[in-house]
Amino acid sequence: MDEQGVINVELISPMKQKRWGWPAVANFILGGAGAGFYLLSFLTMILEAGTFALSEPASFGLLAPVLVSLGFLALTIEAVRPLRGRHLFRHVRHSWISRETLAGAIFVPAAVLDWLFPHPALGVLAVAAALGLMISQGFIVYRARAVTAWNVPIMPLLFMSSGLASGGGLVLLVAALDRLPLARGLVVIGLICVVLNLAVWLLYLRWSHATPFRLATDALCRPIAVILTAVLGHVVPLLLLLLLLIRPGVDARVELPHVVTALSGLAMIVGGMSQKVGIILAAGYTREIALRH
Amino acid sequence: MARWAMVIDLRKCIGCETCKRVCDEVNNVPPGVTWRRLVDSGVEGNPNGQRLFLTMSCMHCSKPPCLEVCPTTATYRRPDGIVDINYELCVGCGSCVLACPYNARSIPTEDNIVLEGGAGLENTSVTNPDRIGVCTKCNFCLPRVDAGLSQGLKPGVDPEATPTCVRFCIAEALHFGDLDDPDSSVLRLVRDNKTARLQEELGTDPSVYYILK
Repeated sequence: MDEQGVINVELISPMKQKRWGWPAVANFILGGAGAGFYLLSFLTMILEAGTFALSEPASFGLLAPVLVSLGFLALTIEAVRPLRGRHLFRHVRHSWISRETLAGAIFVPAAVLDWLFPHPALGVLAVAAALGLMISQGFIVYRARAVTAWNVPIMPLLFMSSGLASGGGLVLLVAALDRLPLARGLVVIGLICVVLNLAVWLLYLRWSHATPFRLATDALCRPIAVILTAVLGHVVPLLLLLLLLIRPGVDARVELPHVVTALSGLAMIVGGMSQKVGIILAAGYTREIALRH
Repeated sequence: MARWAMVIDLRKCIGCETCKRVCDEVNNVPPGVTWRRLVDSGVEGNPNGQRLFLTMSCMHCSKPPCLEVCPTTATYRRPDGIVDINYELCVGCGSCVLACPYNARSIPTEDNIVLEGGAGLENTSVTNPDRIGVCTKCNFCLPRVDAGLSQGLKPGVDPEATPTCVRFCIAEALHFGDLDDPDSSVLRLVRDNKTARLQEELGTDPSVYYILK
């Protein structure tokens, strides 16, 4: 009995959800990273015209739609009746899965067409769809009312920041592998993504002091999770990017150490992956069912 | 238009599981899933020292979280408040399973084969392949309710038109009826007793009421 005289009888204890597994995680990782990559590439193109010009065919121009498509492909393993996929568009008014599917269905062809026949309108359409995809994924998880650690209002923002961080990491990795001249703007964008994602992540972990939330997110605060997500995924790239930024002689077109850039990118991708795996698989505990009277 | 609801009198429930068993049998509930479950609170968990047997299923919420997340509109709510699933539309994505705070939904992966007429009499198997890989849950015995109404029967009063769990409850702990009918037993029970609903704080407005004392 609590202070207000309310009797609370626990009937069903929290259980780990088993409905969404690795395929769903893969979709969230690949979709977020693909969409984030496209958004940040577009942004970089605007800031540093020519560096990542999406209006020009590039070897990585197809990377984002391929990643997003692979994410959706993974979902066909999770959904037991994937051949009924055409019905997924029926509830765009309310369902975030419908909206995610719609965003993906617009993004993939728009990005591919933009790669084949570069046109600003296609690029803008793909950017809008990529943004929609990232937002939708966060809301899909947030709307899972039965899962304590998912049904928190910060979840859409977390998926956005995580997708941007993963996408930013991918941008840095691709730039390093392609030995593109790295611009200061790109490093700054990477830094912003890392700092933003780390801030949102810490905010999420401290979102609620309620016992069910603390218990559900306990696994995310264990040493292995902290090392993978916070240290490797955020602190390491943060330091590496700062090193790139403060290195004397860096200007808009100076070639930067590609190994450091690649490592930063890789670490950011690992951080984003670790977040999604942690949220979906480790923190996915259902809500306690109790009789309160 | 009716507003179907269920009232469960916890003072009467003895935890015999008849409701669950008849539900499983009549609805051919596939193996590994359950539409109705019985939870034993035990004595320690209840500060009153009262041991509660609580039978649970879909709560047929007025604001069902499962409905808004369903991407295919397979889950729908009828004007009379019953939340049902169109198996033809469901893709088995599981979003509704994770949206339902009552753990009332499941996606079966294997079928239940029932021999009609009993073993040895007639080997006609009754299978429901359309229910494999899609979400299933309690539907307040919708076919019985609708069939009864079409025959002029009154669900909750006439056994043929009443959900099986209610009809076969040996303790008469389960009641079903129309909350908008001033003569219905469910309205009277809700009005005259102290009732509680599960997870009310989530704003789902469930249609299943529990009488405590």
